[in-house]
Amino acid sequence: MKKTLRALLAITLATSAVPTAQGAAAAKPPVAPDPAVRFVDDLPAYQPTQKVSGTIRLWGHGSSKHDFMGGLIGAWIEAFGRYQPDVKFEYRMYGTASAIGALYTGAGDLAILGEEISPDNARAFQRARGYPPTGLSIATGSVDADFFDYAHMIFVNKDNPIQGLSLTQLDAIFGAEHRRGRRNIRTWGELGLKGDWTGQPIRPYGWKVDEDFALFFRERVLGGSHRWNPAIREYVHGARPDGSQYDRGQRIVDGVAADRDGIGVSNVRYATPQTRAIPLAWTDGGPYYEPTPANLISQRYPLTRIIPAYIDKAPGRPVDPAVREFLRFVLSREGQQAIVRESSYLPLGAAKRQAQLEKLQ
Amino acid sequence: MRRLLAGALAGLFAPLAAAAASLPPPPAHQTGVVRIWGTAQMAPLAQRWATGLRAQRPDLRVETHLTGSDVALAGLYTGKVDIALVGRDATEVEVKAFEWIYSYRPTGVVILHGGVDQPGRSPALAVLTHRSNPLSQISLDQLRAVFGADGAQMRTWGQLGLKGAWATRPIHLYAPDMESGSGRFFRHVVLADTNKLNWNALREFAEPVGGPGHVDQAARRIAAAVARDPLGLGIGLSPKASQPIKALAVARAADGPYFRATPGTVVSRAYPLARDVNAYFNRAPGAAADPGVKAFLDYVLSPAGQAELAKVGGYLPLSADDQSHSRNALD
Repeated sequence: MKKTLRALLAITLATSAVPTAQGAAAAKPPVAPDPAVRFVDDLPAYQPTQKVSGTIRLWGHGSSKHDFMGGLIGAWIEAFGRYQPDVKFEYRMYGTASAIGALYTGAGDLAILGEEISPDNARAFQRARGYPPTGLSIATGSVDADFFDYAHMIFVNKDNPIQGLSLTQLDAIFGAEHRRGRRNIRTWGELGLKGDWTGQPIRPYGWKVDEDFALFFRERVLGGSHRWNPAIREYVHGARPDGSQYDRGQRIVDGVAADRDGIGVSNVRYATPQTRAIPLAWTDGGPYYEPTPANLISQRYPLTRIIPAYIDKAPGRPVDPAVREFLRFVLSREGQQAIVRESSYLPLGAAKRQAQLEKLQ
Repeated sequence: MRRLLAGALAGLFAPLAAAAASLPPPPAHQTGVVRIWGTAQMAPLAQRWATGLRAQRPDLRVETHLTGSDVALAGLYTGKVDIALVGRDATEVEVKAFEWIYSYRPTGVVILHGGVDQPGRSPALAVLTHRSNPLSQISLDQLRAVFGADGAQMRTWGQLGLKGAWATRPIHLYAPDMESGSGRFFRHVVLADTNKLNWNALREFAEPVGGPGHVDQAARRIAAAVARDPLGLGIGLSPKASQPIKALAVARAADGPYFRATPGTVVSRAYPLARDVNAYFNRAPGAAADPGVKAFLDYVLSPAGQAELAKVGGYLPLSADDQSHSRNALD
């Protein structure tokens, strides 16, 4: 608690109120970390390559209603400050939607998003600056933690015998342009199911197709196409009879639970006994992967998500030294340990982490 | 349990948490400066307005920098821009980005109409067919049935009322990328923003991401596609006489009245597929508009300001009623 308190004091603040304990409590996972994350204790420790100074204007994932990443970022800033005390932070985490705009209008130096960059934001950056934004992955999305960029799972009805699906098949089912393959798939028979399944139409259930979670699915599965299968039933948050929120992810799974021919994209936090989340493969024939922490961290599970940090770096120009050192810190042992300790995200796998460091050379 | 606890604590500490979590939003305005960004094609017009305003108000520093509507709206929420001039409506995501910073939505007023048919000037959308096609008019409901994949669907020219050999022929659709500004406008007016479309019959034409000098290509290619395809129905621009295509008259309701896009039907709002050009600015609820913003938009909405349109070409002025409606929204 004391450490996080110091972290927030190190940040330039408008007020002196510091209820950061609450912020950290909201973010901390309640159980011991999965064995799959223990490797972070063996990562290389942060070694500054130079002493840096300056102010980093930080924009990104946040809101006035939820703490989201506040505890984690506070921990990073506090720990980084012990190595680089001359770097100050302006904390402007007003939401992912404004973060890239802050970069390309010159209002921000670093954008930490709560999800993959949207195509619209990437396009606007390109239009404003004449080159694409530079992104690094800094964390892996969670398996099933709400507000922590959870992975997507594919659900079928418990009566459905299908063993697993590839991204090509998912594209053919959920999309209308089959960029990954030769044709759309519209019946269960086309996926090899026999008997009374053969002629049954596949009924897809999913997020509202122009909203955040669906944009990830679109980029990862549909190859960026905006042509969804018109039969898809889209869900936004609803309300239960008692007035509480009927989460869209639950509505999707409940829809598949009641529909033998249904297939839905959602998350295992909404799982019910009437449905089954199936393993997924990158290519037809497998290998198929379950969404375990280890399979997310290694990026083997095909619908793993990441947390990116974006900067404005012109081609041929170096990264701002203070930002560079902070990102190197986030990718170091201390930075990745903080992810495990202070948030419900997962750390980056070794190969991905190394690739990010190389972007900072 | 953790979520319940977090929820309860958030309720108790929310105001403090919000204040400590982020700095207050960037200041929206600076005194004496009016910073105007917007759709790149509007730069000549914006510069004329800036010149006109400076003549009236030498105390104001008016800066224009128009490189794109998306960039302009981002500048609005990062505090770099006083007025965003955009040839479309702000998207829900852009509004959300602003709202999560300021806790209120940006204010938008209509300042002029897009043109009848000039590319890049937010032109009205024309519904095009081959000249040999007997159809002369179409309603918005019919367009929805033709382009949509939900509800009542029309897939043949017979379903649009054509007889004889035309009755069983399929409708081939040509339209702008449905995620582009024109595409979103079309889906908004005709299809209640749905993304479920008749993809099998629809060929989309994307606009490459361009810089300030970019000229729209998609409309030209759509016209060429309809010119080659007697079964085609295209969403493009009003055709030139030299092309073997024609524009249908369009009605909001099946019993009409039906209109083609002309300066008159755009300004009177009779033509259902004409575009508005908007100015967005930051104004807190209950507060007056920033004086510099008000000065600029008062000028834009004045006879002198609207007269600049004729010198630049391609846009259309607001009717007197619409001008006063927009002016009232500034107070």
